[in-house]
Amino acid sequence: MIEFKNVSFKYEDGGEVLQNLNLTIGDGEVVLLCGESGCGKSTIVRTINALIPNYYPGTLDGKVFVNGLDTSETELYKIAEQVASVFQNPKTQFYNVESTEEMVFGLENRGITREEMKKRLTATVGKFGMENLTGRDLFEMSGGEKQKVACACADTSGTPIVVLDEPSSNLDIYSIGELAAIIAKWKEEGKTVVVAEHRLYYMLPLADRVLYMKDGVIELDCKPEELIGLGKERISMMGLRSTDIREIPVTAVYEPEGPGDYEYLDIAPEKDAGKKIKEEASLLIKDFRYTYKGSHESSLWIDELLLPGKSIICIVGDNGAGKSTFARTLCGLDKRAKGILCYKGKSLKRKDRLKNTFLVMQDVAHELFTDEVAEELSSCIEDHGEEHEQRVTELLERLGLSGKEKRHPQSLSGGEKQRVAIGCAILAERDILVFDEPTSGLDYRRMTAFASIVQKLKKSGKTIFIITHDPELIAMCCDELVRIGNGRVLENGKMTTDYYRRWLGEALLNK
Amino acid sequence: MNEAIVKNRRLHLDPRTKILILAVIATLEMINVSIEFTIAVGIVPFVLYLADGRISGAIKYALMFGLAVAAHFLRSDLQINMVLNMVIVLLGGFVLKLFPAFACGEYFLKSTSVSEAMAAFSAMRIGRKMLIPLSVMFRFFPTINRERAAIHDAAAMRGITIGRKRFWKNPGQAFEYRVIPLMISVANIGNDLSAAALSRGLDNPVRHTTYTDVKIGRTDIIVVLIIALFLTIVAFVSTTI
Repeated sequence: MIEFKNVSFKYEDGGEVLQNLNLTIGDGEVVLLCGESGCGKSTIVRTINALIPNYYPGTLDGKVFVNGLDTSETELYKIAEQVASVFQNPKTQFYNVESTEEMVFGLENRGITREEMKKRLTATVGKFGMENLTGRDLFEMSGGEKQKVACACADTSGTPIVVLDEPSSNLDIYSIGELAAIIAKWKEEGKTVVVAEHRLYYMLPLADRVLYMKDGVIELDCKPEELIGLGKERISMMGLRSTDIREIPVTAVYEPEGPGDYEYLDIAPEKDAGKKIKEEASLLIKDFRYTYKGSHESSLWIDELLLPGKSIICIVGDNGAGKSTFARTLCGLDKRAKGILCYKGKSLKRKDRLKNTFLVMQDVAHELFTDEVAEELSSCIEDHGEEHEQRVTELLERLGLSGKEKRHPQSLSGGEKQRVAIGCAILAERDILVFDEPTSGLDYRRMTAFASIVQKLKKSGKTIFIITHDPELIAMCCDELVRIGNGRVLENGKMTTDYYRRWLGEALLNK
Repeated sequence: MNEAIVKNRRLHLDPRTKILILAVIATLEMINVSIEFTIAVGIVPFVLYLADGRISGAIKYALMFGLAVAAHFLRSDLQINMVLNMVIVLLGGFVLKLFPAFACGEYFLKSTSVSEAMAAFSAMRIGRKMLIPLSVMFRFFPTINRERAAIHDAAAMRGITIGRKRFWKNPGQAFEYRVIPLMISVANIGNDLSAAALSRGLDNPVRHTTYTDVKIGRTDIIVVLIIALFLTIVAFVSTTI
């Protein structure tokens, strides 16, 4: 049993995130914690696994009891015997390099015998059907595989309680299904499971109880059916994502700008297709190939792909299907990658593409180099003209970043960092913007804000590529959907409700 | 594939043996016996690289070390600019005296898994206070490499990689640009990693068990003996002749 008694918590460097919280979670309950970013749901998870107050500095008032243990007076390792945790970022929750070692790490720490470790490991691996994931290099695994290993770690530890903090953020639709199956097994075994999540659709059928949080307070404590019963509009108003991804209306409307903007052109079968494209607004990808060192098979192989320019093109596919390789090839980042991009009547080779494209990475922090927002932006201007300061100020305003000129870019929120990177792409005068998983881990409001930004970018004449797993984002802004599998283009075409449903149905089944 | 987990390595040493070799090499290369002895010390990590199946690492190391040796022998024969001469002698000395230890350290980190290292350290009765930071260090090297690659991509897009015009306009700043995001992401990852490790009982005072077996075997003893014998002979021969 987990009990919160008059709990308030304030992070050392921020505002209050939990306000006088009283909550009891019974044994064997599966609880979904939802709410906008910053509502305090992750903080609840951290108070249950006792990283608050033992690791994250701040002031905790009130008492939290986990199976009778007072978390503020119990050693962390004793709580670890009661609570196992699965975190959001697969990159930073592993301590070992090899997957099997990782799965027994918690047991080694507890001094459990080798025989017992082997027994538990075999049981977990068999239960989750993950024989193919033992003895592997964790760094070489896809996001879905890593999250499965993280769940296996929680399982071998044999704790009665498991907490998960936004576990689906980096997963494709099929892997989310696998995660749901694991949680269902835990529910069957009578474990108490607490999941903080933005994506509601996969948790609602599993949850016994939904807690909706706002500003550190539980505003709603209900059954999943009651939440669904509130209706789509109300749920969006609450800042929550869709409760059923199959039912999202496809709202993206492609508005042609000028004549023949979105027309497949007749391309003669001859080789020099670059000349054949008379229409400025189309993109032609030719002979994109990528082969890993020492591999015989190309992990990216696209002979020809014609795409509408000045539009939003979403690239979908499973974890490991070759989407990131495609993005790196498109941006000219990899010397091993081959291929040409024909655009505006020019054939762009790899080095030309480096100057015409801009990749907004999933981890945006990697591309913010300076110590001031304004400096960051002005450093992106290739040729410093006289009026460059003015351009920076104007752009900051348009991106909603006024007043933050002097802030350190790394101190901004995730969405703000993303906008600084977008600003950089605009100032560097890149026509093609590529986003890698821009909305993973974003709540409804932030996701719609992102969708409106890319729509504005499109209107200003940019071509947008979005690599994504996020069906809601796709339904909201995608013009052209490209499905990639095994490094090949499986299907591409204009976004319609039918296309969306068909793709989603197949993605859920991993076809 | 990470070298750390390649199961069928040609030579598998106990982590404690590797630490002993590292310590011995680091000490011996500081002692001025003779240039022959210094070279002999430098050969040890080269052989270790080869035995670990890391051919490209061995070649790179051999090239660097070989150049330094060449510079050592040619320094008095070459009539070149004084300053340049000094730089070459200094750099050469640096490589001769420090690279063997660096290379042994790299070999140790790359060829040892986290679990193996933890098992060895606890067998050496290293306290938990030391064990945790040591194991974090092990976990960190591959991570830093990944982060560096991502930041390199970002820099390439902004035209601040070596070989681009913008880099040379202000190389100092371009360097800073690369280091700042790396430091920040490494610090963040460190925080998250520690939290994850603590939530899995890393601070448990119980004597930790290990899934991997570590044992000082016959190979370890033979390797240590060969190295000791080789270095003693070289030291003896080179000073008596």
